[in-house]
Amino acid sequence: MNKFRRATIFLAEDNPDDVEITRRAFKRSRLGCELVVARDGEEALRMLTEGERPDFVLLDINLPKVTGLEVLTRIRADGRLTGLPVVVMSISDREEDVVRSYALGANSYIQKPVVFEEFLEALKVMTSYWFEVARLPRPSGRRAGSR
Amino acid sequence: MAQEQLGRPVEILVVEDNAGDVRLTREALADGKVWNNLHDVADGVEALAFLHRKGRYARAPRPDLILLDLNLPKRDGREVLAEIKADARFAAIPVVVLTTSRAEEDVLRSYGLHANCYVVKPIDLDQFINVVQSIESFWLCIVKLPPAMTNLQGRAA
Amino acid sequence: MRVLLVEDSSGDARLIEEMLREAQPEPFELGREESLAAALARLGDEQFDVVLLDLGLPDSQGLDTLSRMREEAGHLPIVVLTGFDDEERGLQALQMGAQDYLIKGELGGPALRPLRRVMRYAIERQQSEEMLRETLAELENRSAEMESFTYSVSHDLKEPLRTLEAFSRFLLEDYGEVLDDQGRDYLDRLARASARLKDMVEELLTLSRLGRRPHELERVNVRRVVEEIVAANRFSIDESNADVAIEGALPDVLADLPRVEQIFGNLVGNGFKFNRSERPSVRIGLAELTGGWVTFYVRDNGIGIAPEYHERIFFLFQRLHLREEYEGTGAGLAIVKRAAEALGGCVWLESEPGAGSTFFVRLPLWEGRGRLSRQRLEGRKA
Repeated sequence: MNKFRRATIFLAEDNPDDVEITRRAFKRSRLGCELVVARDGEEALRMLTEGERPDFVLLDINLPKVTGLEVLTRIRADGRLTGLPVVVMSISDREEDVVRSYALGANSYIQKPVVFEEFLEALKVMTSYWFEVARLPRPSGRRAGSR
Repeated sequence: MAQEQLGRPVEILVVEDNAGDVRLTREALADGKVWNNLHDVADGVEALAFLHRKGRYARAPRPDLILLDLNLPKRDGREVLAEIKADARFAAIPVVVLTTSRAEEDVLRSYGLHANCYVVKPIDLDQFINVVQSIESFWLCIVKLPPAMTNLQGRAA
Repeated sequence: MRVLLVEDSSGDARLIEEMLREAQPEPFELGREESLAAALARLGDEQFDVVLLDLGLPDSQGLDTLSRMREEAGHLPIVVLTGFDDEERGLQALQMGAQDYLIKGELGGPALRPLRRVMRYAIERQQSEEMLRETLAELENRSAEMESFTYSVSHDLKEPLRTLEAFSRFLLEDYGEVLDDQGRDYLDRLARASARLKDMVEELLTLSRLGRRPHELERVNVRRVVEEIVAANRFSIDESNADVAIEGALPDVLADLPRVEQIFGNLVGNGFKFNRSERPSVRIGLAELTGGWVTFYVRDNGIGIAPEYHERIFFLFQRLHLREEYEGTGAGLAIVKRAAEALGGCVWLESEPGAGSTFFVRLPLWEGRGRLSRQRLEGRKA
């Protein structure tokens, strides 16, 4: 992973407060990544299938129009998005939500901490792990016109 | 911490034929912040036996997390990965591929087989320990691991 | 009252019939069968109020007879007849759901209650148990609804809570300098209040999960639970320079593991947390073992609790100390109480200010088999 290129993190989140909180957390973490936001499941699918492939997806379960789990299922079914890391981030810690997320192909499940400092810490550990320790898949042939 | 409600140690299965690496992993995880139990098997056949609780693994707990090397004797790690993820009983268990190969082809293929993550094993000892500790920080502290409903039976009376 | 007597010995049958006629002029009808199969068939066709069942029949022996009768006709009170010297078997019969047992050798003796009264009581008791079971079922229903409601609400509360906490922090960070001291203080209070709210919500969630009836009771090794709790809390214990130890043997209990973990986790944790001593000490041991119940104690050398608070302390969110002095929202003991009661036990406190505290927890002893009353109630067919 070329750390000098800005990573694109795709966030699917309908709660505007959470979007603002997440944006700020990323700014604070000084990761140097670009945050792309979809506000509902339908928009998320459209952007993912038509737009440029992001490096990483943060997915909320409770999305309007198309549910988070449905979005996850479609991502995993899409041959062009193979290996796209999807981390489900949700306030819920219900067992069914956790198990189904993993079963449908989520890479990890994180329960969104209520306290901002803890959320910030979680994001830092997550991004440090995924962008510095783990190897992300680098499929050849991005969309036409990509960098 | 995501696992504090568990009330029991996190069960980790390491599938690795290099004894030195196993020892390092064990040490790195023992110092960790989260209560965990490490189980290790040295090849793919044993790994599957552990999961299926066959023979000497009859009372093995269901792992909460699997660290899998790709280059294994008897059964290749890639095959083991495919089998785990194809089995509805184990598919939800997060599998972190921890292997020496840096080949893009292996990375892609592992993710294609639904590995939850791919991590290249550093050759340097200190870096290796750092990597294992990062794995612990993320997977044991931040992440919510899927609950093992069958653990009641796995636990000794 | 219609009595079905299942007895193959004619002599015994005649004796029983005579006893039933004694004393009360109240009419009764006696049906008689000589084998289990015949009795079951008859019960299918006719109504009876009570069954007198000899365990030794040509087509069925011993307690097997009883269990088969219970399977087919569990709604009827059954009084078992056993051979003499069989007190142990009679007790087992009670556990399996019989209302009473009579030792044939003692029938007709002067000390024995009249047979009719035995029948009558059996019928009454059966009805009480029916009512009890229905009430229990309704209680459980309501309890389950309540748990699920509490869970949903607590869960949903987290989202706006998150916003509250985050944005009050952001305000402070971004505009703190523009505000005067009072403004900053107000914002700070907001942030801290949301943090407390968040803790309460999480405790509510834990509590709602614990109140539900345990699905499966099993043998729980309390010693091992306490040892693991100590190991898991090693860091905090060492940090407080505390000394936590188990005194003597701890018997196994009939319970479920998560609740036992919550009970001892909270009690042990409280023992060294609310403790100002130079060297906080927590001791866990066996206080008493009688009549199928085990009472454990968790004793600390902390600040103690005045008697007037001994009941309140178990209520949700009760705090006896100033917030600044000790952490914890105070739901821990409510959780312990809820968990203990869900297991059929209880918890109480002995303490004086300045003299430490001893919490007592009573739980069912593991006796190699399930508890009598629960088995009885659950074994019955509706």
